[in-house]
Order: sequence, then C-alpha cells, then structure tokens
Amino acid sequence: MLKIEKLTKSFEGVSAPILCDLDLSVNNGDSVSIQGASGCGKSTLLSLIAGFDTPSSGIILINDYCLYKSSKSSFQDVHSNARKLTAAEKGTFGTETVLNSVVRNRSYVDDFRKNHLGIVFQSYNLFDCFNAWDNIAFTARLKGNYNPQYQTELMEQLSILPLAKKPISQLSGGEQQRCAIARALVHKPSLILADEPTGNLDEATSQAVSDILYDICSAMNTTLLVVTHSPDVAKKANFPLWLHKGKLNKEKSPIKELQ
Amino acid sequence: MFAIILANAGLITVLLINEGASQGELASSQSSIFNGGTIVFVDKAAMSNRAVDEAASAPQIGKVGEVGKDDSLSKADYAKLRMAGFTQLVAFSQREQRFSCAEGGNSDNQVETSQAASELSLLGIDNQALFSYPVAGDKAGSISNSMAGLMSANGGSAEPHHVVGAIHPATKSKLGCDVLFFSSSQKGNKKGSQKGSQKLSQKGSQKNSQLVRDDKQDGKVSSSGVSSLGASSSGASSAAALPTGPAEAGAKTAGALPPSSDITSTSSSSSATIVQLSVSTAVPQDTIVVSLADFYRRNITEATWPLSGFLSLLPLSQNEKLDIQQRLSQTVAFEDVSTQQDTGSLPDSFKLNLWAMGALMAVVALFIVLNALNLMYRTRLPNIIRMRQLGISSRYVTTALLIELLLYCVFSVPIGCAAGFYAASMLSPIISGTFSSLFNAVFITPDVNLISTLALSVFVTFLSLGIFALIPAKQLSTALSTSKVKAAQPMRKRSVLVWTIAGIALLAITQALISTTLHALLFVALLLLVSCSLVIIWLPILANGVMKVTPPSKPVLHFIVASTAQLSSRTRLAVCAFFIALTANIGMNVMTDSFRAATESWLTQRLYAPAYLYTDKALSELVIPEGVASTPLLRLQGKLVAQSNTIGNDFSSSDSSSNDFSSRDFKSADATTVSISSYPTHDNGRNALVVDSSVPNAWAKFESGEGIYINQQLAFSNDVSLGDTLFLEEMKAANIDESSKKHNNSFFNKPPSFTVLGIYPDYGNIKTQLLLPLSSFNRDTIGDAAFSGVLAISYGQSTFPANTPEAPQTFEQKEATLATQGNLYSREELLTLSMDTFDRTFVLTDGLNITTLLVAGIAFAVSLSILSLSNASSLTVLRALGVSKAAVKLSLLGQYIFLCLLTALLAVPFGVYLAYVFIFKVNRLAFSWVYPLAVDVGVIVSSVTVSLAIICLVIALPLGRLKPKVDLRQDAPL
Repeated sequence: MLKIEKLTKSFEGVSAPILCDLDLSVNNGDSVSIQGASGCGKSTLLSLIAGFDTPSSGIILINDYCLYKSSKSSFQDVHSNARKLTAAEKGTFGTETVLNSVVRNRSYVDDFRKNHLGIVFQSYNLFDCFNAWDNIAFTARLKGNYNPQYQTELMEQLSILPLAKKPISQLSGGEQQRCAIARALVHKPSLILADEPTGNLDEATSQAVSDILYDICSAMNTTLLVVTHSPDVAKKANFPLWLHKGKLNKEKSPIKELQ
Repeated sequence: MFAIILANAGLITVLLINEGASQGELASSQSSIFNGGTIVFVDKAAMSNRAVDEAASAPQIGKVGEVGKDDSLSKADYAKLRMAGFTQLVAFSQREQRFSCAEGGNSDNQVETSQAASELSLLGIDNQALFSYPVAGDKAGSISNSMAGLMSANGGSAEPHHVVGAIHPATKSKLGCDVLFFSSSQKGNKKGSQKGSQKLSQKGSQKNSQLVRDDKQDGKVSSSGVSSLGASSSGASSAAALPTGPAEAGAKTAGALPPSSDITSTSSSSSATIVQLSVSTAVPQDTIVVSLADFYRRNITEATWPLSGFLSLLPLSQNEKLDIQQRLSQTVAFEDVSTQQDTGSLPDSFKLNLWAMGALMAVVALFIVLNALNLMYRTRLPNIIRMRQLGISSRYVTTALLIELLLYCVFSVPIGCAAGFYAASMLSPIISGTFSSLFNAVFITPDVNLISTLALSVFVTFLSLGIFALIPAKQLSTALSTSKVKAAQPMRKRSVLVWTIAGIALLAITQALISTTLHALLFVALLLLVSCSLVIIWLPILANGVMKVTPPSKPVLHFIVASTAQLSSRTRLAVCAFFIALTANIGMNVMTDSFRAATESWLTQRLYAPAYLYTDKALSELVIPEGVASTPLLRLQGKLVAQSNTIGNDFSSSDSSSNDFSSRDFKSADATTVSISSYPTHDNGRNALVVDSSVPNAWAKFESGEGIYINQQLAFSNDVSLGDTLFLEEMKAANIDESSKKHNNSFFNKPPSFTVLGIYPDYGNIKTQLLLPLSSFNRDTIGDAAFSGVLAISYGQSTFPANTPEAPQTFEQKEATLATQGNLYSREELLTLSMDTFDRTFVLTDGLNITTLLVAGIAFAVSLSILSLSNASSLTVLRALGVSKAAVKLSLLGQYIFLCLLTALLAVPFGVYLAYVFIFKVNRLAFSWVYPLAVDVGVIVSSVTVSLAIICLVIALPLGRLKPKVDLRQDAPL
C-alpha cells in the first residue's frame, strides 16, 4: 500500500509550492496514472516517492516502509527518518507518536529502492556497458532474486528475448523501453514508478508496451504509478488522476484555469 | 587546460634538471685558474705533525722536510721569480671567511642579512699579473677572459667597502644570492697559511682531492692515489673495487656549503665588506676570488697574513720547478693539478639516464596534451553535433574548435612553463645538494635560454595540436549524430592478430638490426610506440575478457568491469601516457635491480680477501706484519694494436715489434688503451673469478701463464672472442712517467701469452681491462711502478712477500700496523660502502622517474575523472536502482584501479622487455658491458603499487566530493 499524506514540495526561489498538501492512497496491485500539464510536478512527485528528493513536509508510507516524516516545526531529511515500521507501529500509522520515534538509517532508502521499487525512466537509462540481458538482470542480481527462467518469460512477454545478447546501443527506442520495463519488473518489486514510459514510442508500440506493463503489474499484484501525457495509456489505469495546482484530482482541470 | 599546464610544467622541470646537471658538469670540467698547479711554502711546524714513518718517506720536489729559512713567501720572492721570467706565476693569499648573503646595501654600508652564514675560502690574487699574462691557447684565454670579465663587470671596487669577487656558478647556486657580506676579521692565524694553501690547491683540482687529503690526515680513510676517485666517474659499481671512504661519504652528505649555527639577521657594522659576485667557472668551488688589494684590507696585512703561495697559469716542467726552488730560500712544495681527473663528472650511464628521462617526459607530455585536447573535443561534441545538424559546415566548426583549442594551448604553455621554472628553482638547492653529495658532481641552477625552452614546450604542445587536428577534421565530417560517435569500432579478431604479429615482428626485426647506441635509443622509442599501439588494441579486449570471467552474480562488480571495458576505449591517449611512464618505470626499476643484484653477487664473490688496504705508499715501503698474507694489485697499461682470431697461434710475446702482423690472420684494433691487472692464482682467486664464458681448462691455462681473462668492455668494444690473441704495445706502468718507460717484456718474468681464455663481467668499469696471473709480473724490474695502491689482506702465507716488522704482533696490532699505512677496509665494509654508493647513485633517476609517473598519473586521473563525470548518468542510475552512495564511489574508484591494473598488466611485459633492451642493447653498445636480467616480482609489484597509489591519491579528492544525484529526466550519456 502506498499512502501519501499532506505532501508539500517547494523549490527555492519559487513562491508557490509545486506540490501542496497532496494526499494519495493506493492499494497493492492497483494502478494509478497521473496526467497534468508540463511542469505541474508529476515527475517531482515520482522523485519524492522514489526517494530521489526530499519533500518540504508530509508523510510517505509504502507498505511497511516509512520514507518521510516531517512536521512544520522541525523537518528532518529523508535519510535520517526513513525506517521500517514495526508491527505495532503499523496499527498507529500516521500518528505523530510513531513517527517521532524513527531511527536514523541512511541506507534505508537505498534498501527500499533495491528491494521494493522498480523504475521506468523516460530516457530508459540502461547501461551502455551491458547487453540487454545483463541490463535487465541487474536489479534482480542486486536484490538477490535473479531467476533466469523468470527473466526469460518476462522478456518473451515483452518480445525482446531475441535481443538478449545485443548491445544496448544497437536497440531501437521501443526495444530499449521494453528492456527498461523488464528491468523494473524482473526483481518483483511491490511498487513500480513509470515516468512517461511511452513518451518516445510510436502509438502502436506505445499501446503494446503500456498493455504489457499494466498486465504484468496486475498479474504480479504490483502497485503501478504511471506519469504520462498519453490519455490512452492513462485510461488503462485503475485510477486515472490529474495533477493540478499541487494536488491530485480525479477530473481534468478546466482549460481556462490551466491557462 | 590543467592537463596541458601540468604536462608543460613537468616537461620544463625535467628539462631544467637535466640542463642544470649538464651545465654543472660543463662548468666543473672547464679550466680553472689552478689547473697549472701551485707553489706553496712548506711550514716546518706543519711538517712536524706528520707521522714519523711518513716523514721518512721519499721527499717530494722541494725537499720537504729539509731545514730552510723559516719565512713565508713574500712579495719580494714573488718579484724575484717574475723578474727571472716566471711570468706565469701569480701571487695569492687565502683565508677562511664566514660570509652571509646580503639582501641590500647602501652607501652607508648598512646591509641586511637574513641567511645562515657560510664559510668559504676568500682568495686574493694578483689580478694585474693574471690579466696581463699573454694569452697562450684556449685555456689561458678562458682564464684571463673570465677573470677579467668578472673583475671589470662591475667597474671595480669603487667604494671603500665594496669589492668585486668571482665565484663558481655551483657555489653561487648553493648560496642563492648575488651579494655577500662579511666582517673583516681574520679567522685562524698565520699557521693557517699552509693549511689554506693546501686546501686551495685541492679545491683547484677537485673537491674529491681535498676530501681524500683530509681523510688521510685524519688517519681514517683514504683512497688510493691513481684511481681513488674512479668510483664517481665509472658508475656505482666501480666504487666497489675502489670505494669512496666513509669519511668522504660523510663529508659529501652535507652537500651544500657548511652553514654556521648562528643566523645573522642584523645590520652590519661599518667594518662590513660587501662582495658583489660575478660568476666564473675559472674559480674553484666554495671559493671567492678577489684582488690582492681587496684581500689585504683593514687589519689584514701581509705581516699578519703572508702570501699563501703562487699559482702557475701553465704547468711547470721539472726543470722549471728545480729552477724556482733554487731561487727561493724557503722550502716550497709544488702541487700539480691534472685537469683530466675523473672527478666531478657524472657517470655516463647516469647522463644517459637523464637524457632518457627528458625524452620520456617529452613523449609523456605529448600524449597528455593530446589526451587533454581529445577530452575538450569530446566535451564539446554534443554542441558540435547540434551545430552540424543545424547546417553549419564541418569546415567552419572545425576551424572554430581548433581556434578554441589553440587559445587553450597559447594560455596554458606559458603558465605551464612558469610553473616548471618555479618547480625547478624550488628543487634546485635540493638537487644541487644531492648531486654534490652523491655524485661529487655539480648541479647549478641552469642558465637557460628562455626562448629555446619555451620553444620546446610550445613545440610539444603544438605538435599534439597538429596531430589532433587531423582527427576531429575527419570525425566532424561524419559526426551528425551521437550514435555514430558513440558506436564503438571494435577491431576484428583477425585484425587484432595481424596488428599484434606485425608489431612484434617489426620489433624483432628492428632489434636484430641494432648496431649502434643511436640505433638502440631509437629502438627504445620504437618499442614504446609499438607497445602503445598494442595497448590501444588490447586494452579493451583484455577488459572484455575480464568482464566475461567476472561473476554476474556480483552486479556492481560486474558493472565496474563492464564500464571499465567501455571506458578503456575512450581513454586510449591518457592510457598511453600512463602506460609509457609505467613501462619506463618498470623497465628502469628492473634494470636497476638487475644491476644491483649482479653487482652485489659479483662483488660478494670477487672480494675474496677478508680485508683490503688502500695506500699511497710504494709497495716496497709497506710493512706487512708476520702472518699476514698480502696480495698486491699490480696494474699496467698498454695499447691494443691488433688481435688475431686464430686459435693456437703462438703470439705470446707482448712486444709487438717482433710480430709480423701482415703474415698473420689478424685485424687491427683502434689502439684501445687497455688496463692490465694482476690476478692471484691461489684458490681464493680462482673461486672469486666470475666469468661469463671461458675456454675449457681456462683456469689451469691461466695459472700456467698460457692466457688471460678479459673484461666484457674489452670483448664487446673490440669484438674479441674466446681464443683470440691480443697484441699490445706501449706497455707502461701507470705510476711512472714517459721518461722511465720500459721495454714491454721487462715487466714480466717471461713473455706472457695474451690469448683470451675467458671473459669476465666488470660492472660499472668504463675501462677495458685484462687479467694476467700475478706470478707473471717481474717484481724486480717493475719495482713499485706497477703497484696500484691496493693490497688484498688475508692471514696466512704471503703470496708477495714484503717487509715484516721485527717482533710478532697480535691481531689488533697487525691491523693497527696496516692501518697506519693507509686505509684498511674489511670485506664487509667495502661491500656495504659499494652498495650504499650504488643505491644513492640512482636516487635522482628514481626521483625523475617518479616525477614522470606522477605527471602521467595525474593526467590519467584527471582524464578518468572527466570521462567518468561525463558518464555520471550511469552512476545515478545505479543510485536509482538502490546502490548506496558509498558503493557508487567505490565502483568509480574500482574502475580507475581496474584500468590501472589492466594498463599495468600490459606494461609489465613491455617494461621487462625495455629493461632487456636497456641492458643488452643500450648498455652494451654505449658502455660495452652487460649484466644478467633479473626479474624480481617484488620490484614489478612495487612499481605498479606506486602507480596505483599515485592514481588513488590524485582521484581521492574529487571522488570524495562526488555526489551522484538521481534525476528522472537526465539525458542518456553521450
């Protein structure tokens, strides 16, 4: 379960926060798509959930992981506050009492990303030095649940198995994106964050790739959070949302207001 | 830009160090005003201090020790001699004086001193007589010109407290100031005159002479007369046979001028005298020459400080000496100084090392600049591609790029040169001290031609730019997309094999054609070039090979190896610079280690006697205690005029006049001077003789006088083989002059055979040499003439009976008896001294080597850092996938180290090969001797470890600051 409470993110020199008291709750296996105007904070939201950046305030909880705790008076950074909740704490989720007792553990977020998070980058960000197979296997090997059989099946589903031994530089954009999706899935994470996964693909390929992504996440009971500009991709999610003025809405905001 | 500055700074530093060494050697080898010799008064009081047995020794010219008029030399004596026609004589007086560097002076004679005082010899000479002496040849011209120049340069001593003084450039370099200051108070007393004059003449010759003399007087250590100083000229290992003494080594260690314990930092009183220094190589070191008028000032008068003696601008003949002695009522001593002594010059091998290091640094600098330009180009490549995509022509973009790179070079070269000059000036005092203490050689702050030095630096930099200009011009024409640039162009396996085989074949063929030293040096350059090309080919292959065997189950490690394989193709030029430096480092270290191992082994075996006595006495005068066996080293000199390669011919006579060469199978030699040394034929001698090759039953034949052993130098330089017979003439003993030259055969009991029975190694010796059985020498006809001054001492029956004391002595008494006659070294002492000298000889070479490695290492690390940071997206992806920050930094460090290790892996075989070329090609052709190549894994590991340490050290700082930040929208790396 992904739960975000009152998440706020401000950037220095910008008066209005890009995310303002944002709330979101997603159950395991559900998929959420987030659309919005360019610069509205979609990728920023993903960065905060992934632990790449620190919020100005708010709480982010993913299953039994607490990534952030902050209060208005004393903000503490992500690395010093993130920790795994105890069973007792889960019962009192969201209360100040529990969150004030977090311990310092800098490797906690790294551990969370390694074990529970899959990321699909817009620009793929595959390793040039590896071939397709090793790129995909990297996260599983890192986590320690590398299973060639499972990877083979996954690559077959994504139609990239014949490309396994090819250098990344020889793959097309669509092929690279499918490799990136496979890499995000192969270590069986509980949450997948996809930042415009079809942004560089043609429509047909985009549809195929998004279908695979949604299907596999659903089959694996993996929570999926997709940021996209494509309505077709967005509407496949269980919960298509719009980000506007720092908050998530179920409806698209009026054009006037956007202007 | 930093890399270009660094390359230029490193190049200039190494060049200046080389230049300083060369100019220092040149300065020390030029004519001194004392090269003609000196005439000094012999003080009876000083004579009385000499040992009784020494007083009984044969008197020198001037009848030292005879009762004479107890007066010093005076101006009247000087005038008398000059009026008698001895116009080459110049009066001088000398005293020790404490000087301080003066930072400023004014008409009120107030000077500020800030440096430690140094004690120098203040030498007053009759400059009018010196300058007016008619120029007779180059030497005299050089003397008068330099002295006149320095005396007149500042317009003479216009002010009462200002004098003009001449100083040797090396001394000035050590002092580090242009103006000196001293108080006119005399140090010592009149008796110092004699001592001072002795010191003067010794300084006039060489510093070593003085040290030897001082050592002898201290009764500690001295070297034997003729060859006591051979060590410094003939390389480290020749020090083994005739080592420098510990006292000498101690004296040398001080290096620079002896500073006083007190630091003067106050304004001087009105009694201060300011010396404006002018440089001249005609002046001995550690001496300031002023006019006699300036010498005798204030309370210093001829009455309180008489003349020390007369120096002769030209060597005096025997008759002239006798004539002078007869005209003087005082007893005087004539001290001749040879300009041909082997002191004060760097070993040839060392000079070659310096030259090689300079050339190496130039090549390394070339690659560093090339790499820096390449990195700049790569940094700008995305923008270049965008401009090309927007329609800007390739020519326009190329021109713009080259102008930009040109500007970088234009700005970087002067900054690098300035940094190099600064570094060299900072290092000069240290190097000067090192040269002085280690090599007894001179290093001066080089007087360089700024334009030519800058031109060299500019040449290297712009040569790189020129080479580089050919590459982007071609690449830019096709660089319309990043994919084309990114696409690696791995060579096909067949091409790799073909290139490799071609490279090795080229080396093998070229190596076989080496016949001169120049060829050998060019071959070294070719070797480095070919090895670089092979490294460029094989480094990615090697890295990929390692990647294949790296377990993928360790994903971060796998990434490091894979990323390094990718990085290796981008860092070729930086790798080349680093590879060359590392290869040279390994090669030099292996060579030095081989030399050391060979020398130590050879010495250990060759020094067969428990002790060695080095003496200046004649063999017949030596008193050998009973029960002490002494084996003298006799030495003759002859000229090799021909050699026969007909085994079995009876060319046993050394008298060439009886040989009819025209009827024999012989070839003429280039009249090589050959040193003929005696060698004992006892068991110890046999065991001690290390030979490279010999004929069957060589020792038995040698023992019976049927042949000789020759050293490698003689064999290689004259192409002498086993079984050849040599023909020598003009044989003479080194200790006697031409007038007493004897017939060749008179040196021997019977005409010896000069058939070559064996060839022995003679590490470090610059002379050709052959060994004859000691029993062949005829002591009756040789007398003391052939005695070299070295006596092997052991306990048992003497092989060459000498005088024995009347009463039996204890062991300690025996040693004491021997020690009073010279310097007695134990075998272990000699070995230790020799190896210490050896180790110190290569300190500076190692320093330069490390400097080159450091510069290349820094440039390599800078290149890697730039490339890695440009590839930072991979690191951020690692972070995004859950790899910790520490692990990312470690992975980066791992890439560097791995690349270094791969480079080192390739550098090791080439380094060993380079050592082989150094030993068996360069050394053999340049110096005519070789030694076994000893590959010690420890030496190689230490070289690689040092290089890794440098890399780690250099990249530690930027790596610590690295903060890979994850960004979802980051671009893919170019």
